[in-house]
Amino acid sequence: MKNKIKVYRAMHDLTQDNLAHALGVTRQTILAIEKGRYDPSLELAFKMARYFNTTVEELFVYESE
Amino acid sequence: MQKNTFYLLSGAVALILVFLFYISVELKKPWLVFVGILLAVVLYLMCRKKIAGIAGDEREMFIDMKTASATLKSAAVLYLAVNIPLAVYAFSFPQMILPPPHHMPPVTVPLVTLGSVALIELILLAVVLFIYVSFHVYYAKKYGGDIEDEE
Repeated sequence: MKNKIKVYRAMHDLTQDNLAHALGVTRQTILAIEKGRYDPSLELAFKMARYFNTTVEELFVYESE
Repeated sequence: MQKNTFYLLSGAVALILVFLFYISVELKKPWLVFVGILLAVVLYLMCRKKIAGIAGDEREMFIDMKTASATLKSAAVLYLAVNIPLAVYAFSFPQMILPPPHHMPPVTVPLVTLGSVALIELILLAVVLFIYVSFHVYYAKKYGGDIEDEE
């Protein structure tokens, strides 16, 4: 699954640490999600979308294998 | 309680358990180490509740879950592979399972033999711990533990 978290993070001028703190996860988790190594839970995906004031579909793009 | 204090305390308890094992061997009183292990587990669980941030976030819990699942499967295979062949010995001496016929003297298993079986089980447990750590490292890498930090 691809995502635009890095882009949105840059748009909001946030560091990984800032975002991690705001969402209650570790910075490693944000890093892993950005790199596509880890797919977040539905809850975390919605939290991120709300935090950036956008939708989950906008933030995450599902690609079938 | 901080994480590091918890780990130090765990190390101290482990050392005390080793000492208790030694004392148990010297005094030939296995219940000493038995009680010690039970108390250590209770202390561990009580302390674990008081540590801030030990649970980790969802990725860490996911890694823990994957590790536990893989370790359980490997441990089951390992224990079956070692213990079923060992059980052959038990079935080779039917007196150990069924009550002996009146004309046969009961088979007694020397305590040393029982101790050897316990040692095999402890070695297996150590192997399982090693497997757990290996799987943890593997899944931590797979789910983003080794990525280069850009910030």
